[in-house]
Amino acid sequence: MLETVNLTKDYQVGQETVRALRGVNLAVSQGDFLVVNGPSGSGKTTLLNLIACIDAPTSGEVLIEEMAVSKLSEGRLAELRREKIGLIFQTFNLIPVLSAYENAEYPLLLLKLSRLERQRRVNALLEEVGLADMQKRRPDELSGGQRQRVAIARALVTNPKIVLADEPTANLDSDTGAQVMQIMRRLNEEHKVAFVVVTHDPVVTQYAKRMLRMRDGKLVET
Amino acid sequence: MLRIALRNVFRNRRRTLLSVVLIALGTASLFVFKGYFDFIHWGMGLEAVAQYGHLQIADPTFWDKSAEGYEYLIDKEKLDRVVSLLKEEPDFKAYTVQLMMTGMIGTEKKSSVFMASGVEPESEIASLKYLLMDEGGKYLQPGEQNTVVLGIGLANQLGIRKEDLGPRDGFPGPPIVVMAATVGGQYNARNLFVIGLLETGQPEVDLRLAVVPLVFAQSILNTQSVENVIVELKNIEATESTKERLERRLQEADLNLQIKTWDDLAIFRKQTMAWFGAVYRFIGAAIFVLVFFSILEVMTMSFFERMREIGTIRAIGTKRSQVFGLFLSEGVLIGVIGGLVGLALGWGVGWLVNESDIRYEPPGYAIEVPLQIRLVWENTLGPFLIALFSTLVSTIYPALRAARIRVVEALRYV
Repeated sequence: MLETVNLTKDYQVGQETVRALRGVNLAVSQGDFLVVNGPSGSGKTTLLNLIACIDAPTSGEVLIEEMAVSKLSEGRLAELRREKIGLIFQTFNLIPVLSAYENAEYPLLLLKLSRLERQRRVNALLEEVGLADMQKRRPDELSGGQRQRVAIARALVTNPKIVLADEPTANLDSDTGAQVMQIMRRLNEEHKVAFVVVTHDPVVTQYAKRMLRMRDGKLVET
Repeated sequence: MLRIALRNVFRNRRRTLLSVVLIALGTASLFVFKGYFDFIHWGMGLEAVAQYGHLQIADPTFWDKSAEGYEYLIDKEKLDRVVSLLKEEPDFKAYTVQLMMTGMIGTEKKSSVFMASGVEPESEIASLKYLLMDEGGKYLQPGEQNTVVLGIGLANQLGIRKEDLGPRDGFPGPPIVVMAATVGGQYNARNLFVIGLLETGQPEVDLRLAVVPLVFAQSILNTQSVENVIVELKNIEATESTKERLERRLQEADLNLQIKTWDDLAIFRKQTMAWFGAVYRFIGAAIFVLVFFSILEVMTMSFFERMREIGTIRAIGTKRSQVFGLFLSEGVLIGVIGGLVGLALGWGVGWLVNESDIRYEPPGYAIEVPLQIRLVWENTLGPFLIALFSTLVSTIYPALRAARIRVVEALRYV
């Protein structure tokens, strides 16, 4: 379902070229729960950005449902992200002026779904992440764990093929982090949607169906 | 996107409030200025109609001042024909005739040059009656043939004061002598009695102005002719159409006369309004620039504050064009709200000014006039559109930056 082929990414820092990814080959199938761990600076987030189609590789290719994303226009990439990919961020990245419900609803507005359908999907997901009674709260009225759960609902509301999570527990205490991971794992089972989680939090690894380690821009199977 | 823009506008209260206040102040100022200029325009229009009537008919050489001597005068026979044509006009209401004269005016001790308007005292058209000063005697009365009303400056030159007015020694007022050349070129002199004083508000006019009965002017000039025919219509809107029709009919009747409307004659009004127009355009441009830079600043700040939000919505599938549209929609919404608030504010300020009965002395005037703001719906469009357009233009640059930003950079922004 998702594949990367010899993915490399170089950054120019002053006169120096920093090689963040050095030929990453990865395959993710439906229902997978892949955890990629590794130390800071190992290239985890870079890999995730490339898979999320929000950054372009220096060389190599990302294939989503066998479609090479490098050939897609900026507009088509946006459509691909909204239809097939869900994103969960380390800092939750909710829109501060919108309520929990409206944040989760946002991607559905882009898909131009009917109000009824939007209501049905958002209510169901907020229920699933345990926030049914907090729909009207704004992000600043929610705890970190609650915000991340709203972000999870937002990531899943479009029925994506794959959800990408970048350090989803980094800003949460260990109990809340564990709760969030449990929810993600449950949704992975129930929705049969693939998850790729990059983290350096050892607690997260225990939820993995499959785990890879990233070191110096390369993936190592563990 | 409009729905999201609406939410952003109403929930980013501080930013929206700041922008709305800036736009509203600009719109309100422009509306008040426009209302003030419009009042002057409107007031000067009424004044012009009162002063000139709706139409004036005279010989072309009278209008272009090319006549030699008094050859521009309209004789009795010609006047009768004009009047019969006038009476057939559907919007005709009344007419009067005038004859201007110049000469010397004096008492036993002092004298001065003067310019008198010979008028029909019974006519209300283009009457100078309203210029009569408080306690300044009375205006010409119907049937009078040897009375005069003087401009206050001219009266001062002749040593005639308010207290000197009123009947004395069996005469209606203080006596003066008028000397003028007849249309044939002979000198002529007559006695007149001053019965009133008037003030135009323009001291240089008051120094020379006098109003005499038409029969007196005709008598001293030794003519039965008049200079022009002043026409009052039933309504001001009929001015142009009546002029066009009447011109055609005068031509058909072989009467070589030319018609001018009150708008043609009120040259000072035209010049004043051209100047006010330029001032209004300047203020409009200044407010446009002010709103432009203020909103640019606010929207640019908003762009930096919302960098990560922009990165997020782009990452979850919002297209560049949609981000651009989002910022632009927010700009338009803020512009519309600010414009409407500004109009309400301007209307309120205008109402307060009108109710306060503020008076001031315009340059070149010796009398106070009321400061009024004309509050009419047609004046709302210009200020509103300027504010909206300015907001829209100032939003384009931040909107473009927001749309073009690289997603990963935006997400990394702290």
